Amino acid sequence: MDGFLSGMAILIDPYMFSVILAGTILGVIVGALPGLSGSTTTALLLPITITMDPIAAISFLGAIYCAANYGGSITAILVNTPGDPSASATAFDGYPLAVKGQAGLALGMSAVASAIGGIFSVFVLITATPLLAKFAYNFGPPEFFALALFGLSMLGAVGGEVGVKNLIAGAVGLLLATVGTDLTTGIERYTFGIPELTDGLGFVPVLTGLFAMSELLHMVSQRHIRTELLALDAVKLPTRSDFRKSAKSISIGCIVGTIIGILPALGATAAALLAYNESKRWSKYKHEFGKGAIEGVAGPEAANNAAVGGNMVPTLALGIPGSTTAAVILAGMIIQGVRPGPHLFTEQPKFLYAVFASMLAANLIYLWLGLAAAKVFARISLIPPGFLWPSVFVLCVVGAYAPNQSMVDIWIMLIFGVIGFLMRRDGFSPAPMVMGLVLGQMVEETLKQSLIIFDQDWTGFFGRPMVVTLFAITAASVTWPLFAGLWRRRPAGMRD
Amino acid sequence: MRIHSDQLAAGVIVALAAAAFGLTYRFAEVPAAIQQGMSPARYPQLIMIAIAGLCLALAVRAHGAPAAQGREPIDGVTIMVAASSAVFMALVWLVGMVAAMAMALLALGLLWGERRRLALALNAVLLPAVIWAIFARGLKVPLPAGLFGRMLGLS
Repeated sequence: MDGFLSGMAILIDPYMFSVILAGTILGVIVGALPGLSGSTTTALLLPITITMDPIAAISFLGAIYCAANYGGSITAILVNTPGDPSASATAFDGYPLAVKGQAGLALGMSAVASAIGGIFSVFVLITATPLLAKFAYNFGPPEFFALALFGLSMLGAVGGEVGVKNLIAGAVGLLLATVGTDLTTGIERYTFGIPELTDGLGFVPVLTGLFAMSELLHMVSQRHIRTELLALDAVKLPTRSDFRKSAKSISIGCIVGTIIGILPALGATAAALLAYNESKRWSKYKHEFGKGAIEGVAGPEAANNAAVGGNMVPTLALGIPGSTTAAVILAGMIIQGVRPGPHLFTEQPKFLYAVFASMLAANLIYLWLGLAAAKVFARISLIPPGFLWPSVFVLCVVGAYAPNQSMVDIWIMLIFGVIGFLMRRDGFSPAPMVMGLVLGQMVEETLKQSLIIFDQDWTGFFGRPMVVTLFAITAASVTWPLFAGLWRRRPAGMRD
Repeated sequence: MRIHSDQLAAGVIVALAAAAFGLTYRFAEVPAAIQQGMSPARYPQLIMIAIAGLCLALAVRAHGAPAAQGREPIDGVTIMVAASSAVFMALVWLVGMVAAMAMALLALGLLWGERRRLALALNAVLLPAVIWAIFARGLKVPLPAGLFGRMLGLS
């Protein structure tokens, strides 16, 4: 209880409140800018947080994460270009509503549904995280190894060639995590005599390169596309009848978003798309979907914000990131010397409850911002790309350089920018690579510790029921994308 | 026979993984006194075997599949922007980070097709100045002064 109260007390601390407010405003702004997603922004601002204390740093990143998902809906509704990928489903009905002259209603519903989804998921986070942590409290290295593999295997759960590509990118991320000094023997691996690599590849330059720099290179090819802002009437609160109509969609969004969010590696975008489909399926007004249904805005917006709290459950309780942005926040925690996992509840309860409080506050702040200043944020989306992206470049450079004052880190950022760009061209997402990189140390450490426990006997893993269960789910997740496509493509005669 | 882009990607990844696998044989020997359990090379080797298996699966899946539609070659400006990063690094060495940032803001803005030169110039002056104030002054992060800066005694 003391931890809960001292964590919640950050809300009356002027410094902490201003950190959360700054994170929320930044989150809404970058969420509204097409191309700058929550993961890109948190990666870009990671170096700034190094100078903060751990609670302020993670509260700041958490506030950005919450607000960016809402910010993405502003441009989805007004420009038909989601500012954040998680808002892509919002554009299906948000933009048609705006075309009909009801942009204000769409933005109002988006702000309210987002806040309801976000606050719902924070309460789930507050209740579910301690329970999950308690469950995992007696886990040993074999269970954590199996859990980390399970988290990575979920990258393949999306199926199709995308699933296989995600698994490959995740495995490459694990390989990248081996760069540096082997902790058990002190032997250097893949350092090529470069002293800066002996501590491994820095999270900041790799993340900045893979997310921000690669996005910049991608956006160069999109430079001819001009965005046009639709006229925006005053943002207004949805009426009682709008709420009655959308209540079911918001409930679906809250539940779907939170559940999808808790599953490792599945983020807000998947949650929003699923919530949109489910809202449509359960709606009395199916025919309005795609033509400006208010439920089509409410469901996905509640879901993508509910996914944020859901994502943080495995991130904080187990140290397994629930999404890409959660992986960046996890990297931020590791940089700050905070190792997430079940022991965090007994060792640093104040830290955890402060993170919960900051996310709760961020949801309330962006609700107020969304209703009071959506028009201003919408204008920000019109910043000319010729000013925006060169500015992102210099921020990438200084962000990569600042933590270690190393030119090598700038080179690493640039190289990973090009790698990320080439990956995207071939349909490989950089996000799974980041998951692999962040989880890499945990996977290797727990594997080696497990083998020491089992006296180097690999069959020892199969004597532990939880490990066997997790291995079975992992095997299913990995083999599903490999065989699903072949099954669909089998000759017609074999289908019957 | 036409090679699918996924098969090409799988081939490139396997080739890189094979090179990384070969490098594991150049890791230093672990002294016998501290050797216990899995060697430093074994874990990356296991990952590379997994990568090879997944790449094989990707190549098999792509066999006979239709080629991806609408994949355009990388345009010239994208290549110029990527190449300008290397030029930027040379400029940092020569004129220092703040001046190189100003030049990058101007050059990249022009490459992006922005023609409001006064606004570009203002951005090129103000943003590096803000970064210098925050990092060099506020956070005490010394930004490289470059060869010219060192000659002028700025470092």
